Amino acid sequence: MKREGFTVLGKEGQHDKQGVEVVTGTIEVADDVFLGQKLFAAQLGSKHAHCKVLSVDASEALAMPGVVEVVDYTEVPGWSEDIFYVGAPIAAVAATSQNIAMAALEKIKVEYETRPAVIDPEEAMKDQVLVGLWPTSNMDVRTDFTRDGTDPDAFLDADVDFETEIGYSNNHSNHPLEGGNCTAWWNGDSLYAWISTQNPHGEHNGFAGTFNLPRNKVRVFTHGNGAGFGSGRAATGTVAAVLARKTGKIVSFHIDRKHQFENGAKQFATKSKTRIGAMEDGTIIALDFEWTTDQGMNSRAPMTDSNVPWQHAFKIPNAHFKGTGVATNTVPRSYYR
Amino acid sequence: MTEKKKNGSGGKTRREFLKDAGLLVGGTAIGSTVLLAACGGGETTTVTAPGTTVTNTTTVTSTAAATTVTETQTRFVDPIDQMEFDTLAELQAHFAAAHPAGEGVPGLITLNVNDKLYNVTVDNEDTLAWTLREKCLLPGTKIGCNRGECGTCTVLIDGRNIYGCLVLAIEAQGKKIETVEGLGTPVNLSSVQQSFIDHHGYQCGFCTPGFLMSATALLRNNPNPTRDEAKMAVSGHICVCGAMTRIIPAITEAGGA
Repeated sequence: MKREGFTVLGKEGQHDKQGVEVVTGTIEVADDVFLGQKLFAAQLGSKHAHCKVLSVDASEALAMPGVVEVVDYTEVPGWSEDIFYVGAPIAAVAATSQNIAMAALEKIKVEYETRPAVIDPEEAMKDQVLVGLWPTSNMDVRTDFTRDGTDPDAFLDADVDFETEIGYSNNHSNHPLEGGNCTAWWNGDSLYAWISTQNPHGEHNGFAGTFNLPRNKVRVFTHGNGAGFGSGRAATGTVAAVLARKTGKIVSFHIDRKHQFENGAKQFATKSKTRIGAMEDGTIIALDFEWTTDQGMNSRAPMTDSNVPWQHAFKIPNAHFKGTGVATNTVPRSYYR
Repeated sequence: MTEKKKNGSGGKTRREFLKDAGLLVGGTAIGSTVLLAACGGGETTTVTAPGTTVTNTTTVTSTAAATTVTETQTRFVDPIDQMEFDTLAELQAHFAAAHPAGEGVPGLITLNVNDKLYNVTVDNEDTLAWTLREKCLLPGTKIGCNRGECGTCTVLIDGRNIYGCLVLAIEAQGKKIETVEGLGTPVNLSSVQQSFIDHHGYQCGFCTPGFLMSATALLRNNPNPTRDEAKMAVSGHICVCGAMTRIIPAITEAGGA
């Protein structure tokens, strides 16, 4: 095919269509709407890794000048009195400035009933202390998968028999520079949300489900996005919407950096043990690997997902994968990408 | 004016630092601390959602932004009651008389941003970065970490690049403040802005305004910096996307600010 036939290849400037907006600061991100006209929210997180919230007293916070509203776990869908990690949300404030909202958090009194917590995955696997998600064990996900036979002598035929063990990987806090944020406003029974997200349709469905609204009553606006890295979906929308509904005003919830580290998804920490049998020409004829992953508090995905990619990349006879996902009383996890 | 950066806060938390700084220089603000007029009190007016595709039926009623911009510097407007005056001194005298200091009364300050004067009401604790966005209505300055680590909120104060989140708005009075909005326009980009586009010195672009301000401060004094000089100039910035390898040549090959 002749080069002239292409409309993109060989043409310059395809990546620069957004450039002028970026370098002049005119590209709009979700936080740039309703400047000077909105209330600011802040979120109070748990001090304990495993506990039950007995009471929340926000009277002192509400008495502060500039504080407009306080909601607690009983009013926000998805929040609970049962806490499984430090920083799990308990209450949220709406105030006339970010500073006042943050200062008000310190005035909220919370009464806790602490429970035994476990934050080390090796300790958690002993099941002596339960994280509280499941009644008998901290290991909800166990995968034992074999493909194309289990010949015990497969490794004997290999020219190279390689075995390695790697300890728990660093679990990055993979947060983007733009903190998670949402500005919400109710027009009657219709919800409008300006939210930092890579998945506006997912947020749209989420709002409709959370607030039991028909989908035509929810408007989600997209914006320039300050990246994602797998933790772009900080849970800001629900809080902003609840406070906006209760105050009748436009409420912006921009999660501050500390609470994003406590609540935003973090990379899984995985310990791996791998044995590979290969021929001199590079063909892998046997594979046996075992992963143990610290899933923190929320996700069941990695043990099922991590069993998939290698199957697409290589056709390996005598392959065996064993995976264990263990929950701990630590921050929720997600993928780093 | 204290140019406190990450290492200058003496190991304090940002909140402790702000409290101390507020006490230190709080006397320079007219009025008292605590409440902003923006959403709590203030005059009620009808505004339309800015920069959105909301239809007419979604016009919202909100309280006005407590901001007046004086472009010609011939009119000075009280951000709270909208009264106009000929001089800043008259406005300040009126503000002190009409809104006496007390709980729930913000202070009136004047900021010189990109050669325009902004008369804004602030609390002592309000940072320059937050004030630029929410009071001066200049959203080009982004807030990333809000604790002096990422550099996204960098602005120029009297030509020096400084983290906007670590400077109080009241500290910036009487200084010449420059933000990304003051560099160039979409049809007349500055050299370094054009160079960032040419080198694709960004991915998501959230950190870019801060990088541009530090690059501008460098290039004004040193139009042809070495790679090491460029690296040092933006060492206070984080680009999480990883565009650093394109940002450095965008600076060294800009040929000036």
